[in-house]
Amino acid sequence: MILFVTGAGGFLGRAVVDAARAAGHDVRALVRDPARWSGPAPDDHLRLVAGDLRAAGPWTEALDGVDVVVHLAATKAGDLHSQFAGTVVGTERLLAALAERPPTRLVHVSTFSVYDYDRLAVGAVLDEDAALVARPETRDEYCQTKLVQERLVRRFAAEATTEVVVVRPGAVWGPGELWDGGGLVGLGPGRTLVVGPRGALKLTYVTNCAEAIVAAATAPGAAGATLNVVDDDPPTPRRFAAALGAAGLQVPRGVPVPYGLVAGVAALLAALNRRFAGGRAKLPGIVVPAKLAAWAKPLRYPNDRARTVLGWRPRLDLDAAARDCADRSGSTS
Amino acid sequence: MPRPLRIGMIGCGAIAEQHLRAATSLDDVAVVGVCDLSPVTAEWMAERFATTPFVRHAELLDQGLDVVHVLTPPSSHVALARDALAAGAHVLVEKPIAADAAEAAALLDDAAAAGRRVVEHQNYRFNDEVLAVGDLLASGRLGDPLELEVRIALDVTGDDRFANASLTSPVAHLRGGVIRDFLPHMAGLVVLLLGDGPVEVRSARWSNRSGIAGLGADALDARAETDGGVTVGLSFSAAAKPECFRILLRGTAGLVEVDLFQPYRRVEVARGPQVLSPLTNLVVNGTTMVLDAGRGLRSKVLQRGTYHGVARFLDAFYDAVRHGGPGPLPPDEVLATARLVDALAAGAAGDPS
Repeated sequence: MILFVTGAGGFLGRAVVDAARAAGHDVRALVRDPARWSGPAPDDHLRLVAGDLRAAGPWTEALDGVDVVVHLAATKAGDLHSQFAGTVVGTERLLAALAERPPTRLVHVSTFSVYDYDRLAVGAVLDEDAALVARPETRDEYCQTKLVQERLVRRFAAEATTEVVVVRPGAVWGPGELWDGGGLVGLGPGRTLVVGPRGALKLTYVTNCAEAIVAAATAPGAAGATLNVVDDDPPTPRRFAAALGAAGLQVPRGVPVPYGLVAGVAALLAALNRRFAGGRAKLPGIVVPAKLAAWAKPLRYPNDRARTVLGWRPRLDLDAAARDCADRSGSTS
Repeated sequence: MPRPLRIGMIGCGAIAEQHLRAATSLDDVAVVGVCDLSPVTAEWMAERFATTPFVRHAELLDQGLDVVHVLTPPSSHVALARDALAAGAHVLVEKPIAADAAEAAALLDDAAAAGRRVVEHQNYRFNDEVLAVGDLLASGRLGDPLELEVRIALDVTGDDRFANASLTSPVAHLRGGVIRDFLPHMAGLVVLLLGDGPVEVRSARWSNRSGIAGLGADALDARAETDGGVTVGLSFSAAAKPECFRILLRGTAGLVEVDLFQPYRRVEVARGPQVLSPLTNLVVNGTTMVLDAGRGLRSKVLQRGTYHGVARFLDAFYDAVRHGGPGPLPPDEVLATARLVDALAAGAAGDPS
């Protein structure tokens, strides 16, 4: 099969290219600047396509003959409008191009960020049926723009002949992205605040996640599905940090604080904000209830649907993933 | 109750966010619709600000609008403003209003002929700090102006629109590159504080220090002089830290310095007995700066940012549309600003076409 991968130069995109090649697919990798490509050298089975979804360009011609488009490109930094342009307008252009050159399937990579954590009780199950964010303005720019992006893709799915699979990865970790070992806020050199130390982290190792995405490109029963991707047995922050530490990866030492305590402070500040500032005060995310809930509310994260529909199994467990990460980071001690 | 003023906005980028926030905060204003070539962008903005999305500006202009805001990339400003005039609306155009002063003059002539107003949006004129400088100058406490310095330090190198080789930089073809986008603000302050008479540019050194071609020039150091003999320094740097938007006005009797990004005021004037003035100034300014720090924190928390002048500018423009009067910025000052921008940009690299 021929896969066209957007955002191929990114952290997850690189891994998807590797996983797709390992699965025997030909890849056309859309990258903004081929000179900065750090992946395998292009060959008969890997073609780099230079372009940016925000601008018209010859990249659209590279969609000719493509079987599956894996859409990962998004802008995660910058202000709301920068992220909107990169994530949503880019997707709008991609979908317009797909209408001209329809592939068999589009795998859209969304995110756990679109869920409404505020409405879930502590300890509840978060699966694909959980409600999406009802008040996007209470969440960060990434959530707001990914929500609009997913809505756009679903509208396309309703109208197009192309099959659509929506994959929502949890927190993707791997070389260069260790999520501070589960810490939420840096507390100076070598220390990080761990909110809800007994809660599970919705982690997926980049290789496991990439393999799930590639499986979504081909799995016969996946058309029309929405699939959460997290690894088996989501670890607590302490377990995650211990696995990383055992593999020789450096992460800040966690300073634990109960989720309920921080949530209480956040609720109090939100009430004061409404009472005295009409809700206009902009406070750090850790004390904004909706953001705190999204980042740290202790929940359960099953991956049954992805396992069933894709036939996918997270190949590397936490300890094996940590060792793989350390090997690839070149920082094993 | 007066009939709400019917407003439409063309262009739904980042600056439209500020216009929509400001317009929806004002009384007797109805934002009838927003328009963008990207349907999802128009729809998203319309949803967030409870208005109607349009993709074709002609359809928005058919809605019987009193005022149209033109908030698109600069190259389309004049054509869209003319369409809005033809639809019978008054027009507020984001800066720069036009490619050059000649084009701005022609547009203003068209507006006059149509009995409508066209204004360039120069929101910083209405920031607290700029108003304070204007008040101080008008009070005579600074004496006659001698020197004006406007200095912007802003790291634009990280902006993906310019640094990304796959995207067409919206400014690389303009004389002055990315700085061209800020020149109307800088020139507008010169016109506001020193009048709309001729300004002679003595030198304007443009350079690109970041090496990012898409930015065009990213540093400017210009010296000029008004016909009244006031020297003017205008500088922009993408590299200097900390970021600032500083105005320093020195007169025959005192000086004032303000910053718009991290707002503070320093005023050195005659205070009490002459011999004690320097000491009194230090005490007063030290105290003011401490209070400014508190105000700055409060503004940050309450999200009252650098754009707080937008609502005042809009209010003044809408008021002039309803009741007449000079409005926030007379046409002569729009033109004087454009002329100074032209003179500054004349020495810069780029294709003026």
